[in-house]
Amino acid sequence: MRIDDVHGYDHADIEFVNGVEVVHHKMASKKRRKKGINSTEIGLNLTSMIDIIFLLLIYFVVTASFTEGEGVVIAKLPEGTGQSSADKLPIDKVYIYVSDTGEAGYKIEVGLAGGRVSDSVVNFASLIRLLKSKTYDEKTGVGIYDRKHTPIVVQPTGAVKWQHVLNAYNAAVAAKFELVSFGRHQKKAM
Amino acid sequence: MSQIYRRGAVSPRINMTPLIDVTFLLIIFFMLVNTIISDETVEMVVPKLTEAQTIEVGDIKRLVINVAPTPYGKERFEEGAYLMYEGTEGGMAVEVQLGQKNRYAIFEMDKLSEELVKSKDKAKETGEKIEIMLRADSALRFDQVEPVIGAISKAGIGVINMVAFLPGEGPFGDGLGEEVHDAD
Repeated sequence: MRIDDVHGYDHADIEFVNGVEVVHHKMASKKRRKKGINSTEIGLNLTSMIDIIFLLLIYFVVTASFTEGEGVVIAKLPEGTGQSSADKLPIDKVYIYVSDTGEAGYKIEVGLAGGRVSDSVVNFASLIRLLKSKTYDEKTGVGIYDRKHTPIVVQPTGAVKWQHVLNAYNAAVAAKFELVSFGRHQKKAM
Repeated sequence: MSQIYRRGAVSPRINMTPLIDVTFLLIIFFMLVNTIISDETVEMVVPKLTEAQTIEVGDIKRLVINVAPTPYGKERFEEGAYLMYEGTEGGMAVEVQLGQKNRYAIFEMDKLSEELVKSKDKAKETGEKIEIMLRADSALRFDQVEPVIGAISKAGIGVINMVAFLPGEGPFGDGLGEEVHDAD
């Protein structure tokens, strides 16, 4: 009987060292794999992990809210010593009086200081039109307000909703006025 | 016969490693961004403007001041009459939040002013420019927002970015539960 018939090895895989039988397993296993007897491969099954990771990813993408659709209206607050410079002609401030009418409603009037109202409008779109129409136009020579030099003061009463106050400010900005500010709120509606 | 044919059926495998890498990065990104943003901005309805002149803010170092009536119910966002909301004490700003955690009552505006001066000085040392974002709820009364503007002004900050919706964004309607009645 040949030795490879017993063990299933090639004769060349076995050698005798000091009378002990030594089998070259590398060769042997290679041979086995070829035959498909003992072929196991080590590998992680990643499918379930990927499933969970994708679920997490979708959750965070959906719940991430980037304060959608918000922007800013820039307001420059008055700075300086409070003393007017002598070399400039004083320009009358134009006041936008915003007063509350209850139930979150509002009333808009435009005029000079001290409640000297000259115009009244029903909404902010009309306010923008009014301010634009009263602005000096070089071509026609009509208009009394100067975009660069006429100070606009938004003068709300205390109970007016912030939405209407900011809307009035926005209207002055939309009419391209450069000096827009807030006045201190008045105790009583005009 | 060549080596390839002799081997028989070859099972194709996709290398998933880079996909998993990228996905993990995305998850971490969204988790972080989510927490940072939700800390800085209190939930509220900011003003919706007619012919809005609002501009998007770029990548600047910002300090957000939130002025919000509390508490907020879910109905705050569901119904169209968001301007009718009065908070617990009739349009009162119960809380003013500066940055991520500093909170002040509306009568503590001196403290807010001091804190703003500190932030301003800190920014000056590092040579950074700091921008103030004022996020006030649309339903607040002006006398609740005015002290905050006063505090910012008192801290010597010359420019306020007042947060409102961008053109075409924001809730539907005029906030009073009625149809929009623009003259145009």
